[in-house]
Amino acid sequence: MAGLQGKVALITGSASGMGKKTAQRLAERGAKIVINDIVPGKVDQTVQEFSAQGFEVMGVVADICKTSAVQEMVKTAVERFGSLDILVNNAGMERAGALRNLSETDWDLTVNVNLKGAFLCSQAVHGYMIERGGGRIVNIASRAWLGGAGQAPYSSAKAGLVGLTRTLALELGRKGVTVNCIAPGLIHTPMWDELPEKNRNGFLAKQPMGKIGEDEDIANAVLFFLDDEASFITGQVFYVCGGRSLFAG
Amino acid sequence: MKDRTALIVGAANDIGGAISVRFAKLGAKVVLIDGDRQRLDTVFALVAAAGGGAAEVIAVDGADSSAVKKAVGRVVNKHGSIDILVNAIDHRDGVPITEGTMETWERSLKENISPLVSFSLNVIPVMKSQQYGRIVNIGSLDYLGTSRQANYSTAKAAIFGLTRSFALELAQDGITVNQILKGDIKSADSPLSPEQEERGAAQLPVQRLGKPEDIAYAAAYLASGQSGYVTGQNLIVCGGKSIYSSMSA
Ligand SMILES: NC(=O)c1ccc[n+]([C@@H]2O[C@H](COP(=O)([O-])OP(=O)(O)OC[C@H]3O[C@@H](n4cnc5c(N)ncnc54)[C@H](O)[C@@H]3O)[C@@H](O)[C@H]2O)c1
Repeated sequence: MAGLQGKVALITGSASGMGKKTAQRLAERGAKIVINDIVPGKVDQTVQEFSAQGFEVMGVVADICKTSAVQEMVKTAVERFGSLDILVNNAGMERAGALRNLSETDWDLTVNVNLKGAFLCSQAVHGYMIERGGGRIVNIASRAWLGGAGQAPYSSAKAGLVGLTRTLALELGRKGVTVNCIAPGLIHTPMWDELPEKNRNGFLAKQPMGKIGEDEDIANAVLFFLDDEASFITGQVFYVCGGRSLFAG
Repeated sequence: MKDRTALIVGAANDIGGAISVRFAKLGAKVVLIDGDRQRLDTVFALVAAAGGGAAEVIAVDGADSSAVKKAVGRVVNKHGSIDILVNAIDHRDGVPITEGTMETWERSLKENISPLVSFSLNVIPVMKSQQYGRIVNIGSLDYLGTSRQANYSTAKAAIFGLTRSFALELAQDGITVNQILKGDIKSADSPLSPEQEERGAAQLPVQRLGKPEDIAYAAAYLASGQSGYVTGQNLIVCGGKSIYSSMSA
């Protein structure tokens, strides 16, 4: 993976989880990193950790659902690093529940963070990519875009993200910007470790591989799509889910 | 991929050749397999020039099951393992439906599918005993249906079902099975006039045709240790052409 050296990358929601792991891997390959999250303390801590490793990094606390905050974030990043080559729309959250129990707020919040945020960030960033003759956008969707009981807002938002991915791939293809989407399956988080063993086993029984994935698996896939050499790959939905997307009930 | 033993079946065609060269550069012990001895030797020279000191060539007709069995046995005896199997065999005859006969159909299905099945059946027990393996099948976006290539499209559709079925059955054995779907690739195997090339490129969102190296880049990821949580998947490398199909997400 040679084609990441010197690139400037903005990863949203990158103060924890798979976004943070992706940022770490990108920095190790010589990219300059813009850490974004909505939680100030986590941003500071991540920036400190990265600086201590000698990486070129800056942190921006911003709510990706707010146009002005996103524009300000992108402006500050470009002022500091000169441009933006890579955008990973990773920030996400879920309000889950059966149809009758969901509120309008649950819907708005989930759709705004997972879908509108990716739209606003892509819009704010793409001009800089075009200026540089190309760029890479990777959106983190979810296998759940295929549908999931109790997941109406999240599934809808992630399905929207698939549509956004394919549409932007069509619009930006001739400008050298590829747009792809990763659909993770069940990935190891602190929440997973807190589940009762019985519940964990229930989830595991549905995994063809009998295991869940790690942040590392997602970071590896994201880096694959971000490389210069991935220039003929665009508009794709790529599942990193241990085969769960096949037919596993 | 360092020191992994990789069987490249169909190594004599442009895509198999590009994969062989890339894997050799990454430090794999590459075994080039094809029925076409002469072209194999040409690819071997490229692999050797790329630093593939450990590479070797086996000329075998993939449709001859006892010859395949012998070839696989030879590799296991010599290297003690087979970690990667790439099936890159690809035959199209361009025969329209009304000119086709049962012979042209049977030949197409046999040429495209038999080597893939035969090598898989011989290699999978080896991978199972290691509890590690990567199988990468080179399919084509044409499996979605295409004019003047019904037999080829049919054969490639078979690879789709095979890949997913193998993936599910081997999911708990450390073996991943994935498919790369190639789009319009410009290569010596499918010569195009400059006008055809220009027209083809203009139809793709990225405004260029693919190269064998684009496929080799994707194959290297799916054959590496980095893609362990990816199985049964289609990785479509097509410059965005697949976005126009409903079957591509
Ligand atoms: N963990 C899984 O099993 C899984 C599965 C499929 C998809 N995903 C998706 O992967 C992505 C990352 O998930 P994760 O598991 O690493 O989660 P995470 O909660 O560890 O990380 C997401 C980050 O996004 C931040 N964020 C939330 N709202 C924001 C906003 N408005 N503006 C800026 N930042 C905001 C959060 O503070 C958090 O730090 C998400 O899009 C998620 O939907 C996760």
